Amino acid sequence: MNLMNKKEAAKIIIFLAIFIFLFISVSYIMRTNGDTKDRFAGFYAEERDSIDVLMIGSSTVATSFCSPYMWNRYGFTSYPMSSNSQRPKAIKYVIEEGLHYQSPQLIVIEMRTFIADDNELAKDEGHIRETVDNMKYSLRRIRAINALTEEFDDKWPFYLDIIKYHSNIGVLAKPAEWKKFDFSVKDKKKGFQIFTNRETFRLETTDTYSEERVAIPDNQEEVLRDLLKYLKEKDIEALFVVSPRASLEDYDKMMNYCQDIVEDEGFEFLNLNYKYDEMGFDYRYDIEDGAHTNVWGALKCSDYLGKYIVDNYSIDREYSKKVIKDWDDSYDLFMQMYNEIKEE
Amino acid sequence: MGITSLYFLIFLFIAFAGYYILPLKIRWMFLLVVSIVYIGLSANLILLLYPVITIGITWFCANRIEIIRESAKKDDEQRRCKMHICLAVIFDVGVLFVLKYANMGIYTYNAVAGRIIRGFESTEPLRFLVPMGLSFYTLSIIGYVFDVYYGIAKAEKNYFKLLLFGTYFPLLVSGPIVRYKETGIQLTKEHRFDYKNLTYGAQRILWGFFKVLVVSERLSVVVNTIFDDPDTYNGMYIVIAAFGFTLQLYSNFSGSMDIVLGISKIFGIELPENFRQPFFSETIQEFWQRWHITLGSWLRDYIMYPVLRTNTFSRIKDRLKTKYGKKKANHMTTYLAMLILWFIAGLWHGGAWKYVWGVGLLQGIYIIVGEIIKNSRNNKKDSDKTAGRYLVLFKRLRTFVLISVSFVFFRADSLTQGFAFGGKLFKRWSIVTGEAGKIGLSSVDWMIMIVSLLVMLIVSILQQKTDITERLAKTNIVLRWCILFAGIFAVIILGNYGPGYDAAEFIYQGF
Repeated sequence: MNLMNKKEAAKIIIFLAIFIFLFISVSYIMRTNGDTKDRFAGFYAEERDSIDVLMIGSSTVATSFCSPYMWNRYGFTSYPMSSNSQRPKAIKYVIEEGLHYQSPQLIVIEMRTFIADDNELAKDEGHIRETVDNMKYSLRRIRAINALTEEFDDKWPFYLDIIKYHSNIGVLAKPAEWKKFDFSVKDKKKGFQIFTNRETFRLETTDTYSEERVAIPDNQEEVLRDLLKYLKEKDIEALFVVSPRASLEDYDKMMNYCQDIVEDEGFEFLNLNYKYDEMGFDYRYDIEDGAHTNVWGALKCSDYLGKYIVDNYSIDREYSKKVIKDWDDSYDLFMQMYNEIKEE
Repeated sequence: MGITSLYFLIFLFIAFAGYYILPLKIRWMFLLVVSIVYIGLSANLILLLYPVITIGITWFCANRIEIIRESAKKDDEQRRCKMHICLAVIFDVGVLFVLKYANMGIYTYNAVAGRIIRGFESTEPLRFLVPMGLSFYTLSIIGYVFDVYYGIAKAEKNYFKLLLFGTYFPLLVSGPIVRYKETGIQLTKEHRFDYKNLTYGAQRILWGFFKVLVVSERLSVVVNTIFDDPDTYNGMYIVIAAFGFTLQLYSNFSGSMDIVLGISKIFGIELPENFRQPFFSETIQEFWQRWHITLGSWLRDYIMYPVLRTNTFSRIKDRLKTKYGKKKANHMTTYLAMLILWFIAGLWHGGAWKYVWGVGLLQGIYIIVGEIIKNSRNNKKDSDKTAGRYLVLFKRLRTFVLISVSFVFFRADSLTQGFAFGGKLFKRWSIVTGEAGKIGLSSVDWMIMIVSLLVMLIVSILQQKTDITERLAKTNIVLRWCILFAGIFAVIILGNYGPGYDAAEFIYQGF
């Protein structure tokens, strides 16, 4: 075998290294912009090992729990790694990703999507992409894709998501997106998504408490049991929560079913739909659209969850001055926005 | 497996690595294995039987011809050689005809008989699986056996070397049509790794990707939108579609050639150029010397010249000589041979009359009319340089328009539709408004397409004057790499590929 000389080999290696760097950077820039991208990019930009509580699940995590608010009231840092209709199957991989960058003392897992049939969720490319296409390129991401794309023959558009997003030429005209080329732009709201509608959705308060149990789909139960096994194996402290929503048929009965499984494995389960009285939650005014809380509802949920965490878990960490200032700034920004919303 | 797909790039990388890792002596065997794997991945592997058998018979006949020539018995040498070349050609052409043209005969028979006979029941077309690159490798191996017959090339003793010549995977996509004495010999030579070949080849592949994915795929949207909606688009839009398709065909076909030639360059194999800035041609004749060059030269060498040398043609020429004089007789027989050449050229493009007319006889008529006009007037050279420049520009535009008109038949579904499409040129020269006015593309896409076409034009102008690859290699490394990265990311970002797009298919791939 005849080899190239050292200079030629060096040129090829440098060229490929530059190409890979540019390719990854361009891929991140071209990804569809929006709240989920900002939230995940913001997560990666947080100082390493500065997050106490990771919150994982679907969109409701970002709308129900306000991290800057919990920081100010209860003194711990938290971050939502949530995406719209996040498949329960994805949770394990999102936890892996989170643990690679942070050393949280508690993982909060929102249970809502466990009631949906995974076969249906698996068919929707968007539900998968919302999660994996906001992750950095890594072997963890490849594992997540392999687990989540069983319905798709061609996985390359997932592995290399620029194959999907290269036509998003519009984002190139947005300087803010260029800054996300290395995922170093923090999300000043710490992932919290503010919903402000309190007029259009009017639901009379109904006590949905039930003692009955209705099984969740088999494939989701399997995912839940697998997740619990994983958490135990890795010795991860986890709290399973159900955020408030307008009642669906059998919703709370299914959550009761999940609660039994979770508690049998020794984890805490907190159904906020049953705590509305203690929280002072008003379904008529604190819900945005039936499925998500608005900012007023979010503050009540955050208050309750924050207190629950400090009362039941030992969260202790020394924060650097930089981290403290950063979180204080986030709270100030949130309050400024909140006050403006209230005035409006 | 399309050659602009990611899978192909991975396949190519493995083939490249394997080729240079293996010992020199067996590299050609590896290329043969790679080609067979490529056929297996791209189509049904059973179709490999066609080239295996066709090339087997050609190999046998070529070797027999050589043995007969070298044997002591000279008495019936010519007859026996002729018998063997006939056997090879009949078999090769026979397979091509059955697979590609049997249905053309059936359709024509149905159409004619349907008009003459009342209650005529149409004959069902035959359904065949056609092997990849059939039209390309058939012409290449026919050329080979003729070269052996004429003593231009030596018969290949090793069957597998000839099999590689016929199945070398880049050639199966869309040619070019190659000669054994140039390309066949190179394929089995021992090629050492060459950094220059790697970089030049990769740059050529990149340029091909740009042409196909950025330019051709966008043009195809415009062309398809107009052709598929004849009720909405008339007049000016017919002109846009005709010009658009010519540019689409060029960017697609020449782009695929750039990829094929670039791949071969990486393996140390130099394939013949198939395009040489065809839109700078001042006449149709010149155009065909710059467009699909290898087909033109093959038809000239293996059809036109042999036809002109036949006894029949000699007799025709003699008769015409007595009636019209030597010069005119020469012209007339040449024109007749040209019409035969162009008929076959049209037929080669596909089993449909639209090809026979659009990329066949019409081209012949263009050239013959051009020759007659040229011969009938005194060739005055323009002394005024400016007038000369404008005249050149006019001639180039005229050639482009004439070619675009003929290529409408190429794009049309049938000969009838081609004529009907031409008729629409004279209807409603009004502008279509609203979303339909964008002809399938967004404003950004239009801008990208126009800028990309300008880039192609500038590159073509530079190619007329210099070797761009050599020039690029001599520029400062920072500037060179900036240009290369700009090219790579132009393809990645602006290319039409991935989910939501049809896979980029080469127009000449089905031939």
